[in-house]
This record gives sequence, structure tokens and C-alpha cells, in this order.
Amino acid sequence: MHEPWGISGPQFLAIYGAALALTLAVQLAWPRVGPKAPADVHRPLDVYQVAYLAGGHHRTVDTAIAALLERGLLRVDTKGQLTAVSGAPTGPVEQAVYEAVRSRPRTAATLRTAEAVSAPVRSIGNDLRQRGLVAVASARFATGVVLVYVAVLLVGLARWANGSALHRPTGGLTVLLAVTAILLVLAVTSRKRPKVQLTKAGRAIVAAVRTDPAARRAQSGALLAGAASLVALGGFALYPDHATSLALKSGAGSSSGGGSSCGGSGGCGGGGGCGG
Amino acid sequence: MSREELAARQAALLDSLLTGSEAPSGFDASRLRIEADVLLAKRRRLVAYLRPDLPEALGSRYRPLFDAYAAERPKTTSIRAREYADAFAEWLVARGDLPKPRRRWFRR
Amino acid sequence: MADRLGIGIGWRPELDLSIARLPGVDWVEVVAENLHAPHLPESLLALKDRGMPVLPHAVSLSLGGAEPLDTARVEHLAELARVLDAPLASDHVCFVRAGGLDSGHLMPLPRTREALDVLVDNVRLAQSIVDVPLALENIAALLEWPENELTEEQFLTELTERTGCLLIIDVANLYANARNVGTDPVAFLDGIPWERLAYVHMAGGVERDGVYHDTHAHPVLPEVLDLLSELRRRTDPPGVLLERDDDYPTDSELAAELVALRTAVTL
Repeated sequence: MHEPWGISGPQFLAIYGAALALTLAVQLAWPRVGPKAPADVHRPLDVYQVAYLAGGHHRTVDTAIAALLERGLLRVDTKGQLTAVSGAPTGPVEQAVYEAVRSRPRTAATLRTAEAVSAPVRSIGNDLRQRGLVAVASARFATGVVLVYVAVLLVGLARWANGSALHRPTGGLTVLLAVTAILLVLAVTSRKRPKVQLTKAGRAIVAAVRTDPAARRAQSGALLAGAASLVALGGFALYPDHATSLALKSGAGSSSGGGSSCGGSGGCGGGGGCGG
Repeated sequence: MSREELAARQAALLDSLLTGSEAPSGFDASRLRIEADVLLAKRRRLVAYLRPDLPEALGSRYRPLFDAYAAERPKTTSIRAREYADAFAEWLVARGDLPKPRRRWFRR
Repeated sequence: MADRLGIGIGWRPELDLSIARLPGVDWVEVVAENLHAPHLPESLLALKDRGMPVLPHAVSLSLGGAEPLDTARVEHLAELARVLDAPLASDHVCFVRAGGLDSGHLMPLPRTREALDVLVDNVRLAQSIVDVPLALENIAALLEWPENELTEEQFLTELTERTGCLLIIDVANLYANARNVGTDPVAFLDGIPWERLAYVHMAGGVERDGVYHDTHAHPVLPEVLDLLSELRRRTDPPGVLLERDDDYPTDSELAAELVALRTAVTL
């Protein structure tokens, strides 16, 4: 019997499955085992770099929120909705967070996923990768992974279409195609906010900063005290003011949708503001 | 002036301020213009407050588009403030100034 | 007469955490239309539980409107006053709806006998629905009705004499009217029956093209503070409230404005 492409169905499935498994293995392992920059542990880190090491993307955004709140550039209400006050933010993450809130009141949850905020945070990740402190995959590597999945999927689809036309059984291949599609989607989404894996040197710095005041002092002066440095290491729970901490946590919860804080069925200035 | 006449004068004043119809007799024209601007600005801010996604999506086009909408459709007493803001969003979509909403229904 | 309230601030959801810890806040006022009695914000209830007076202030009753009063709006205000245990409830001397249109803003009334009769009828009806004293506030006008025959202080005095309502005097609105429509602030302050005063409103504004706008989004002007001192020479106001509705400043700036109000009314 003439086999399509000269390969039997089970043979194709085995080859296809192996290609898929290999891609996945490289995708997951490369950041750990691949070549990386030699660890540079001597240059001091700023509070956002420490936040990134201690808690990744979300923690970095949270730290900027804490810094802006502490300096009075932002205000938070008890539901966690942030509004802009006034002032000049310093640094790209603070700038991005402040501008995002100024254009529209938001919660921590919506800021963490805001596109405008993620660019400066990604660049912190890249910088730390170059210092050999995190093993986050580079953007080029992540794009390469996506392209490989696309290629694998296309070959599988061609085989599937061919098989169907020849009325061959395609059940096993259908399952593998579905798996490929899922992995492709995951690869695309994780490209925006890659999972942060610390290198050994990165882990050592976080551990030292957490436990040792001297190590903290060795980093930037901003780390010595202040709400931002506490949040960088421990999240909103460590914001020094209890009411603010509760408010931030309620705004970081997944249920909070942002938008306006005024109640239900359309009161909001029925007759308009007040005082005339 | 009877209660009916007063009602008519008040209605004529609001109509002039909100739709630009002819001013009722005796009012200072420059003051009517200022008051009309104030009412428009207040409504514009309230709609932006209720639907912050609209100024965010429209940027500098928000103001001229809202002003065009408000002149065409002043807020009536039969519609709530939030419904009025949502109607503006629908008007924008109908004119092609905003893409069709995707996930809005989940979020409310 | 209401009890002594002290220095207060307009409660807004965005400011709830700030207000909860601002020093020198004795009471708050809430915009009635933004609240629903069954679902009051927790942060507001927490203030009330601390014993802080919470007074509802309506903006949409349109008591000066010549069309029939929308009693559902009055009932909403009455319900809020009940659940908040408020000593009084309030709205403005104005109209906001006419001919099916909603101005979204407080519009001045013609100061005529007929308009006063309409207002008095509506206020009496509202008073029969609200079971706490009703207070009414002077507004900031940008235009004047050509048929005006009474001064603003005469109009307000007759209103309180005929209905027994209390008055909220907004000093920023008085300043705005002095600037924009030629109200004589001294004659106004001399003509108000101060024994009917519920409390005083203070707010910031800004001048644009020769017109003063009562924005509630700017700091209180020194001239408005001066008028408050002028008022203080005539009466000791039971309460003074700072209204801020937009472009909120830092907590310390809000606290400083409250201190300035307290200083102006403390002899």
C-alpha cells in the first residue's frame, strides 16, 4: 500500500510527537541551560530591579504604585482604585504607571496587565538578564519558539488534510494538532510577560537583601527604607500603612474591574455635580 | 407670570443652552454662550467619568466628538446619566469612530 | 437649628481613604444622587460608625422648576437621611430640568414673586416627604433673568420665612455672583437671616476670560476666605464644609485648606 509522503501513519505520529516534545523541552530548558551572561553582582541594583528579582513583572508594577503613593503622586481609595494627584514621576516604570492612571483611574490588577506599563518592566528584565541575574528567555528566543510551533503546526495540518482526503484515520494526529495549538498560544502569551527564573547569583542577591541589612545597604540607598522597598521585597502586604495595604490588596484582586467607582444604577450626578 | 409661563420660559432657556435654539428674550447673549459652554463641559466630564474607556480610546478626538454628539442629542430627563454615556459609545460605534465593543458585557 | 457640626469635607469615593485619616474633619457631606441607601459604601459607613455626622446633599430635586416636583427624587433623599441618621438634608435654590431636558447643572431662577411661589410650593411638598429639616443653598449663576425683581438675599429670606427651611450659604457662590452678576456681597451678608443658617459651603474656582468659574477643582481663593471672615463677623456658622470634586490635591494640601477654614471662623 502506498503511504502518503512515504511514511506510515504511526511513523508520522511518532516523528511529529518527537518534534513537538523537543521544541517544548528546548523552550523550557534553554533559559536555564543556555549560554548566559556572567553574573555581575557588584553594580548596585535599584528598587525596581530588586522588585523584579523578588517577584517578577507584577511585583515591579506594584513597587512603582507604592513609590508613587508614598510620594503623593497617586491616591488610592478603599476599593483599590488609583487616581493621579500631581507631580513628576522618576524613571520609566513610575512614568508609565503614573501616565496610565492619569489617563484613566485604574486598580493594581489592571495596571499589572496594561500594555503601556509592560514595556519598561520588560526592559528591566532584559537588563537583569544581561547581568546574569535572571534566566528569562530573550525576546528573540521567544519569537523563535513561536515560529517553530507555527512550522510544526503547518506540517501537521498538511499531513492531516492529505490524510483526510485519502480517507485515512486521523484521530491521533487531530489530538496532537490540538496540543500544538495550545502550546503555540501559550508561547505567544508568555512572550509578553515571560516567566522569570532567577540564576544562582540572582537567587543569592534576593536572599541576601531579604535577610541582611548590610546587603540591603550595599544596594541602592532607596532600598534602605520606604514603602517601595518593602513592597519590592514582600508585595502590597508589606506596605507600611495598614489601610493603604488593605486597599492595594483589594485592588490587586482579580475581581476588581477598574472603571468608575460610583455605584450601581446610574446615580452619578443625576443633576450634575454640586454646588453650582 | 403664571406657573405655566414660568415653565415655558425655563424650558426655552434650557433648549437654547443645550440645542443652540433661539435665545429667550431679554438674556445677555454672551452670558448664554458662556453658560452653554459650561453645561457642555460639565456633561463632557461626567461622561468621561462614567465611561473612562471613551476618552482613553479617542484621545484628542474625544472632545470634538462628544460636543457634536451633545449638540445632536442633548440629555433628556427620560435617560439616566450612565445610559446617556453608553448611548454616546453606541453613537461612536455606529459612526465608525470606535470599533465594536468586544468584552464590555462581561465587565459590567 | 442644627447642632454644631464644625469643619467638614465633601465625601467622594476617590477620597474615602484620605478623608478617613485627614486631621480636622468633623463631619462629611455626600452627594445624594451618587448613593443608594441599601448599598452604602463601607468606608462611608465606617465614618458614620465612628460617630461622624454624614449629611446628604441633593443636586437634582429641581425645587425651583415650574413643572411638577419629581417626588421619587425627594423620597430618595429622605431615605438617605434616614439611613444616615442625618440631622438635616439639603438641595439648592435652582432648577435643573425643564421641557424634557436635563441641564446637568444648577440653573438660576428668575427672582420674581411668581417664581418664589413655585419654589415655596415645591419646598413645602419636599418638606412633607423628608422627615428632617431641609436646607437650601444659594447657587453660582453665570446669567441673570431679565425679569428679576428681588435681590438674592430678599429672595432667600422670603423663602425661609415662608417655608421654615434652613439655608446653606455657599461663600464661593456668593463670590462668583459678586464677580459675574453684580451681587453686592456686603448687602447679601447683611440681608441673610443668620438664625436660619445650617452651615456654610466653601470651594475653589478659577477665572477664565474675566468670568469666575466655581469649578470645585482648584484651591479656595484668598478672596473667598476673606468673605468667610466677613461672614464670621455677622455669625458663628454651625458648620463649614470644603467641597472638592475634581483634580484632587494631595492629602496635605486638603488638610491645609481645612486648617485655613478653621482659622477663618475661629476668633
